[in-house]
Amino acid sequence: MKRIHSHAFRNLNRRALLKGAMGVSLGLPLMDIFQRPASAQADAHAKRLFIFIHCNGVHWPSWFPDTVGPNYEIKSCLTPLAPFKDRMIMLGGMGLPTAKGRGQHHTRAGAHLLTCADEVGSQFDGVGYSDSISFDQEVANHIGQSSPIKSMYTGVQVNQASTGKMPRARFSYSGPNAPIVPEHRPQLVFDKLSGFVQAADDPAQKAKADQIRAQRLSVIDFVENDLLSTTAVLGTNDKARLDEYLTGMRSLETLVANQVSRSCDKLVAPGMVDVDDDNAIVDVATQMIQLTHHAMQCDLTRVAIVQMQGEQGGMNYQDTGHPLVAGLNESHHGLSHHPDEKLAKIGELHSTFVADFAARLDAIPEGAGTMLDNSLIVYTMGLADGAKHNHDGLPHVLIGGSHVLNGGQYAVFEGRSTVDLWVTLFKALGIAKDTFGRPEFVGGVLPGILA
Amino acid sequence: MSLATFRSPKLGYAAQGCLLVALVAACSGGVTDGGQHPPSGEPGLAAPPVAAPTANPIGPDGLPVAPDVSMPPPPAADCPDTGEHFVEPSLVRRLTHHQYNRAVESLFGDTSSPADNFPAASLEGGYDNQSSAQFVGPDMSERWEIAARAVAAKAALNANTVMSCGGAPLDTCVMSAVPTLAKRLFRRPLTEPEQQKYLAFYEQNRATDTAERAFELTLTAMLMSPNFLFLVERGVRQANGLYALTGHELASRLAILLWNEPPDEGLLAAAEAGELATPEGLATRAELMLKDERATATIMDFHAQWFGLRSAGTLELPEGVPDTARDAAKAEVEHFIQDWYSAQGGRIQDLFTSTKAWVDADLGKLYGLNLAGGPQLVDLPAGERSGLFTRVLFLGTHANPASRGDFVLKQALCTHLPPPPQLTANDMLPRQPTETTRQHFERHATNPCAASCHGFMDPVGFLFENYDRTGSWRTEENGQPINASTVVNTAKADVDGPANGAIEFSQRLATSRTLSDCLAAHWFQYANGRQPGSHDRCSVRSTQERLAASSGDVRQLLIGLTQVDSFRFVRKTGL
Repeated sequence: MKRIHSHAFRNLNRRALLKGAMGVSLGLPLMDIFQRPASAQADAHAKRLFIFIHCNGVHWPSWFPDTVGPNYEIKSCLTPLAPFKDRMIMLGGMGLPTAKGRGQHHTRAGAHLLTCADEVGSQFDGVGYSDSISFDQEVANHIGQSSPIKSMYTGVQVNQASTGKMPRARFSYSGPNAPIVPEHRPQLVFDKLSGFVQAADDPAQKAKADQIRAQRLSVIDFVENDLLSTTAVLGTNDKARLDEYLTGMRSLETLVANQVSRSCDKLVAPGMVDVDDDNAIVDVATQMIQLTHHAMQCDLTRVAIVQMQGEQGGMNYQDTGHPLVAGLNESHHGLSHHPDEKLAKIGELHSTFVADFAARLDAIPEGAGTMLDNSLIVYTMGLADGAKHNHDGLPHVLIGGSHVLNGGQYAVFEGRSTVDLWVTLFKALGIAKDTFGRPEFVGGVLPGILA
Repeated sequence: MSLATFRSPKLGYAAQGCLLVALVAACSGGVTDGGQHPPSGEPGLAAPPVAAPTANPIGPDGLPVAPDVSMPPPPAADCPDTGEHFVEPSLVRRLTHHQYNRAVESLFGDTSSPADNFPAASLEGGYDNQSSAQFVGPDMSERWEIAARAVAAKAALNANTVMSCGGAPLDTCVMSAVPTLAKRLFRRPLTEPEQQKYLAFYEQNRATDTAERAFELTLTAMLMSPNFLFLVERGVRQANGLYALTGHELASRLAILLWNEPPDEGLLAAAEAGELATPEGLATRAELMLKDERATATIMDFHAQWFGLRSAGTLELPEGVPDTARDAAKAEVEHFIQDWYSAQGGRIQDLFTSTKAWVDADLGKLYGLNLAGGPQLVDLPAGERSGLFTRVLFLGTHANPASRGDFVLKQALCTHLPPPPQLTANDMLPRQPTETTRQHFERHATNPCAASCHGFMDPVGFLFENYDRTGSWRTEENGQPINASTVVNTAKADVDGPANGAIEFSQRLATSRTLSDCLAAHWFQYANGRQPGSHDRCSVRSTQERLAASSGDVRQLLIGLTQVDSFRFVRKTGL
């Protein structure tokens, strides 16, 4: 059931529209996205992937509809997403079969959700890092290569080992035993993104910028040679570690070489926040959503993750000033051990961030619809129920991708692995991959999801 | 060499298989020493290993050890001095964020702490300096470049001073200045080819830009060099296949271990004079370095990580006590550790018995003290407090019996629990309004699933029942008297048995060899940037003996860490 789009705002001045939608002042020139010809063939596959990771599980009765199918009911956790109901797919039933067995189940949620593979490495509390690349990185390897930033991974309190013992839940992996550390400081994300915005058209300034870029590249080239001669005297373990650096240098080289100015909006600096302060949770989340939106809007990246705190994270929401979570006088992790309507409020709050992002994409016309129609939003988690610490029947929500997804339904795939969701989304993204993670758990594309 | 060639995809299965076998043993036989000792095992400390038949042994970094270095470990029992050397294969360490900041500060006077903007360090076993978790992704490479450009740009503003040119033209003085700077940055002299390359790079940039800018770019390249960012250890190959560290490399190890920063000129000079060539020379130097106030950096860094100071932000506070009490509780412990080391003799038993504390008015409320104003030295009530495990910081960040027991088992007894089982139902029964915390947790432990872990954690945690969730002393809860007596059962004779309350237990802990050995093992992991493996057995044992023989003197422990094979040799995989 494909949605028919009607864009009442199509005749509006686009910049006026965006100004309203973003709530920030946008400068000249026009975004280059508008300067591209609308292309019908772009609709064949989704072009972007945005993943929002929620931790500690949810209160099931406030999340899952009572009935499957198209006439599903939106429960309290997802009310912020109600405007997207007909472009949304709620999923249930799928678990993480590779995560079975003893181990710290919070950490395990991180190692398995996006990888659906096994673990490697030392066994702190019985859990290692994933032995396989994660879904987001696999996608980035296919659709992110031509972007200045292959993929972005940010989050709120994702690095603070707030309980003092949960530093190891990592979701994104560039390869075996190679977890990617998310960025928790909006200012540093801003610094990186603002490097892509052209300062001026003055020829002298441009020449200076070109010279600096050339010099940076010559330093990088020197360091690459330095790395090669240094590794020549090292053992294999050490060589491999320095090879990680060499890979990083090569990706930096690409980044610098392509750091050409973009005719894109000037990015507004995020306000100063204390990223470790629970009272700033909502502010930091909003900033990360805005920054990620900017990066996608300006086509700086096509693959991004925003993660709300770490697994077993104990953020306390009551003093954030957000009305939804006022009065939640217990940490998120504490609440998750006895899920109820209070825990549901945190889910609802997180849904507002996802809805905010979806609305931002939906405000940008693209092709025969909006940017949202050409993007997949995956709202997901690796722990299903915080009281049981299980990975069965995980709640996932897909939003957008209207040209490729059969939106407006709640579907349950009892007993199947979440890997089938990733395999299905490979198809939606036009990536020719039929298997992922540990192959024996792959059942294939989920029926009825693709348009 | 690509990563894939030795990161065998089979490893995941092998490691898990190994783990599961170990866990079955743990569940039927009790707790293990898992954390401080990898599955390769250490007789007397850990369950014997069950090797996966199809995989190479797993090294301390979690990677398979190449077959060509799988020499037999040292003999099990008493580590006789046979003149043979043993060391587990290691993985190259990189400078920690702190060490990077200290390097640019001491070389260029740059106090901007550029490493604070690096991607967050990943922890392993609670420590941020473990090479197995020092991943270098694209983000790290980007930030290294950003920091290098910023540091070099600032240094180039004072190029003449930074290079000690004494007024000579930069183009002339760069010839001597580059090798001098490189020696501090790389912690060793440049080789002749390296020197040629850096000078050629300077010339290449000088051809199209100013001398200052050419210097800046050359310095940027040095600051991005793996020889600066990583503690690259080439060593000298020995007959048995190990590599003996060079004097410069030993100087680096000494400075990193004892000062938590790269070596200064004096230490490098000592290395060049051959003063570090023998264990005796290392001991003499280490003793000298421990008298320097820079040694406090290491003491504070270790204890902050071992004791979990970073979790102070999660401290539970009672109504009416302001949030600033969290910082005060952290500062109290920091002040205590600093004083313990610099003024009180630094004996590990005192960590668990002292009642000295620096407490301000807010924190005083939690200790039941009526104080006014800022932090002041007080003696906490001896009937209520004894050492670190009875301080507000520990009790309020570990607010329930399970969490308290878990921490004490891991950090003080090196006793590791089997990982939690797969649960099918809520592991936590709802608390009844009339019951005490202990009664609640005891019902919890009768749940057969939960009992497999809580059966170990909770009994130790019950010792702390005289402290509420915020660490305040209590004698009753919900109208019932507190019961803080328990039977400790960890398979360690000198700590096991009946005990009543945290004071009695802390004092038993303080004099136990189990605690002393456990702290030495934690220090070993911190000092070497990795968990000890079976080939480190005698290095660990020797360190433990030295600490015990010195009646718990942490300085002797640190000197001991410089005397053992794991400090003086490296074993390289594939060479």
